[in-house]
Amino acid sequence: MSIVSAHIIFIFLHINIYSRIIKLSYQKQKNEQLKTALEYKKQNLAQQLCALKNQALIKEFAKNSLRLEPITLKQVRKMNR
Amino acid sequence: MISTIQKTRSSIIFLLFCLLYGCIVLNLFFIQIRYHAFYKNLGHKQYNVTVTQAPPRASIYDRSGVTALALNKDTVSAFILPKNLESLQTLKPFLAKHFPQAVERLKNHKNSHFMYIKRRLSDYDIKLITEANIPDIKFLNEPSRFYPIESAAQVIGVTDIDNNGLFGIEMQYNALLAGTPTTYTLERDARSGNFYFQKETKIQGKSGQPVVLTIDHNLQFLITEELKATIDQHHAKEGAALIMDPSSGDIYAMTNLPSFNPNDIEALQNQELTKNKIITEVYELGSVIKVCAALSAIEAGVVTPDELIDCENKITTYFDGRRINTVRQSVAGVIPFKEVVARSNNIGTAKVAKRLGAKIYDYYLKLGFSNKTGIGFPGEQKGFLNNPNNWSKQSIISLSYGYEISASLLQLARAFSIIANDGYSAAPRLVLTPATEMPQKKQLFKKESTDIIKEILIKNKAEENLPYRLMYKTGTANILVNGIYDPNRNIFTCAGIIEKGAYKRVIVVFIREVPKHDVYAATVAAPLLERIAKKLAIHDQIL
Repeated sequence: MSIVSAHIIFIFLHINIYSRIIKLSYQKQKNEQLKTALEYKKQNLAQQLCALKNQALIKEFAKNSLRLEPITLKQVRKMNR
Repeated sequence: MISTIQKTRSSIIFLLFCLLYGCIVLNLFFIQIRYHAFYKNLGHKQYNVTVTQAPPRASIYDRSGVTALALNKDTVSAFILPKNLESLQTLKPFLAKHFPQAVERLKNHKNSHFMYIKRRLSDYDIKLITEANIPDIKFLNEPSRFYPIESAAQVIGVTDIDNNGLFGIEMQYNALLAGTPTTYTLERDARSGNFYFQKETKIQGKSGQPVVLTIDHNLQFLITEELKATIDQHHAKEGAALIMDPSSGDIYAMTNLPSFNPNDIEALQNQELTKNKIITEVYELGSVIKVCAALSAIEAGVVTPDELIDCENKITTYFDGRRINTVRQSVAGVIPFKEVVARSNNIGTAKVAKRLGAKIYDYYLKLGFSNKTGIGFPGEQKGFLNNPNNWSKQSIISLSYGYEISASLLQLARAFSIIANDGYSAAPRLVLTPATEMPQKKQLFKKESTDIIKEILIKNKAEENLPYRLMYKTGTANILVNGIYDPNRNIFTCAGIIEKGAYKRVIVVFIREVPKHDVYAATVAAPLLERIAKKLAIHDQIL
């Protein structure tokens, strides 16, 4: 009788452990999917950032909006420390 | 008492049940024993799915390791499942109107499980399909590339529709950037959706490795601007420019114009625009090669810089029975050899080269001509140098001022790097990571010889008071058209060195075919090199 009870307990324990593993596996997979989605977002943001760093646009903005001119060699002075 | 009829009925019913149970046992025998392997495989196929996943393609960076020159971007493709179409009546007219090629393909793929309508859809196509609201048309994300710095397009290259490198660095390092796919076996049932119970890696792949170039994205932009301004000013057909560090071989900037938009490869009409002509095209460069002839003559000891050479005060003369022409601006009488080179006089140069004889061929080989540079870029040309075994009487004369020798601009930069390096060899490179083994530096020419050449080439004007030494040589060469040199079609080259203390850079610029006649490299290419040198000085803070 005790052997049968022990077997039944072991079976229940085994099922319990296995279902926990599945639950954790499910959580892990959800996190993997989230990671993929975030990587995709990061990729899009990196692309947008690169597009914003376009030197031609920056130069145009500096010239037209900020009224800046390209520096010439004569304008540069070296300061001796 | 049970009658005989009742007994018989019971027996029949009993036998019937025995028969039924017998059928069940037989069926079980067939399923579990006879066809055990078949059903086991069927179950396996249903529960076990093999998935092959490619890693994301790695990025390409400039020398900072931070600024991306090529990065990943998803594109959208449209597809249908021809075997499971629900609204063929709406689908066909829509495809016929907007995607006629898809209609043709659908005729040949009626029984296919999957068919693309179009890959890499534009925003307009996506909007069109979305608004059409046809349930049979579905979208799919596919990996593609985005290139933020368009001026580096010919260097970086592009990928094809399957994201494999087509040319340039994308092709050269395709295997490294792409990595290798990983194959998994997933165990799941019909109701688990995207989730699995177990995952087993069958083949472990490798993630893509990023490539870091020697290119400086700021310098790339600056010299592209200057090159474009020069091309526009002279209405030239094309141009190129490159900046190289002679000591390390690092190429800081490399640009060709006209260029193309690597982010819209479908709009590309002329594939010529995709060529990195600095490496993949060779030209007869003309007078800029006189520097090499002069270096060879000084190294061989057949001339000294102060030795007086008779340039005959003519535009045309005959030497060894061969006609030599020189441009009007370079006509001179008896002048020191250093002046012959500075003035770019063909007559004086040819006379000195004649003293070298066939040795000039060996010196040119030493300077790297007729040999690939080792940069490994796809499509690199090694050029041509006429072997003395094939020489005519004209050859030594032609070779002295840049004909019968064709070279790429990169080879020219390498030759000038040897001069900048005090005679030590130079190996150009475009890639910092992955690191490649650089050849050991060898002294090819004496420092004294290269110092003399540098003194001859100095162009610093007192009034400009430049904070660096600027040395350069120009070259104007006729283009060979149908076997005849066309005086109205020229290439204008200028190669030079900018130096201050230990800081050295080699600059090579090239302009091809301007509509105006009677122009020379001194007015077309030299000003471009001088402006690039100034921008380089400000950028690198050599003041």
